[in-house]
Amino acid sequence: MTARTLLAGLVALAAAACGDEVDDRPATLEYITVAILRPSCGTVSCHSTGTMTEDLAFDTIEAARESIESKGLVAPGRPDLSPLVLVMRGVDLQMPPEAPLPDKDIELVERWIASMPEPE
Amino acid sequence: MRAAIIALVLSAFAGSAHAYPQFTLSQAQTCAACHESPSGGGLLTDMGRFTAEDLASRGGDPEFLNGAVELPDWLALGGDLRGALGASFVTDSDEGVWPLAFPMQVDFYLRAETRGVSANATVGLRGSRTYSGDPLSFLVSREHFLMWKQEDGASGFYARAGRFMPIVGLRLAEHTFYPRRYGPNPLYAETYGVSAGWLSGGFEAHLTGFIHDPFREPQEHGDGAALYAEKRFGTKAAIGVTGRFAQSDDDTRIVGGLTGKLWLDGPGILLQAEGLATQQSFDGLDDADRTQLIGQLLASYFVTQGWLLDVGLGHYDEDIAIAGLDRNSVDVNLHYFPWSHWEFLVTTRLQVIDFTSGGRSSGYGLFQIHYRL
Repeated sequence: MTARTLLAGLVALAAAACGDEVDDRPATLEYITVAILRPSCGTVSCHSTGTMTEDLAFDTIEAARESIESKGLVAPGRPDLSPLVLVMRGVDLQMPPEAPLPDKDIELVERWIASMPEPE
Repeated sequence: MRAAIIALVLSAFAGSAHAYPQFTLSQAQTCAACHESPSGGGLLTDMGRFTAEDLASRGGDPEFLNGAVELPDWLALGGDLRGALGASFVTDSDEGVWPLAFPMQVDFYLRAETRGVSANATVGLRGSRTYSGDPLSFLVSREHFLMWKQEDGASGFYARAGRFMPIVGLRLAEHTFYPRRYGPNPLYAETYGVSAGWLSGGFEAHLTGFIHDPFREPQEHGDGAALYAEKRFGTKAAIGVTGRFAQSDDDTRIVGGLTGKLWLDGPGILLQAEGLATQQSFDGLDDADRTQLIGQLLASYFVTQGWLLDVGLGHYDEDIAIAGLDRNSVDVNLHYFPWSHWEFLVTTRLQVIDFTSGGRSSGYGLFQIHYRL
């Protein structure tokens, strides 16, 4: 193995980043929790059911649902007013604090919230 | 609210590096040559203490508490204390740049051994938390296991049972590197399991069966198995293969990957690389499978006695089928070992999301003081 081989491997990994522009991932709480919130927010160090930083947990689907409902993190139909989205976009607060989420992930959360019917 | 932000930042960094795989190739040794645990980290062996003394620019007694307390042969005690000071930033965020100062690591170790069988335990504090309830919830025992070793030292068969980190890949010390943060063994992902393996200067292999922690909220939610095997070619090169399977109530993850190490004689640089691919399927979501890629290249340069410079390049693609989900990082870390128990360390990171389209950037710079008991 040479340094050139190692570098070629890394470049190949970077090239693989060129995926489809269309994001057809499920805009559901179940998917968002397991695919995005659990690894980025619901770690044992932060918002897990044991740690409960700020009384929030995102490590299980049920915990995420309870946290979102009890803290009013989502305004149904209005992602622009949802605290969950605002902190991801760094409005007043930035979450996660030192490893922000990609825009595509935040847009998926926005699509999920937008799909909810606004209350009468 | 500022306190809440800082608390979260602290927890993101807490429990950081505890070992340096940079040393393994140069000495044709495994992690277990310098650490009692085959996973690396924690208590040092005689070889590890000698290395700590030899590496430090001003030496110093490497024994427990600088040799002030003489322990019986069957008992080993130790610990790692680490504090950090620095700043972090995220672009396009109202927070901008904010300062950081916090205790990063508080771990104490105990090992009692007789006739090749040892009881091992790590007790410490799990980062900086905003617990409002039981103070005991701060406490965590990241590892506690019984281990049998065929031989005293870093060769031969071993087996262990208990709570520990299943061995996958390079076992990089910095948990912010992508193979750890987004890979199969992030911070606090220790599980209960049984493991068996073979250790020698030229080859090592580890097989672990594990279940998620049934007693506390787990970082790893799944049950499964992990494998790592590495073949070393003298002190010049090594290549490894790794795999891992985990299934939880919500998902199934299959990880495969390769590792490589190369010592460049001319410039005196050690290169390490790790590439992992993860196939994840989601329970009840048939069309939501995703493939993730993680890559890390780390160049380590032993500048002079007591000084070690690391430059790392990382790449993580959350879902290769969708553009814009890649994260890319550059890390520059400078270690200084003035005495055998002390380390001063500067870690810096710049991360860019969606590299080709110029997404958000973030980063940090931390000055750390690390004392080994």
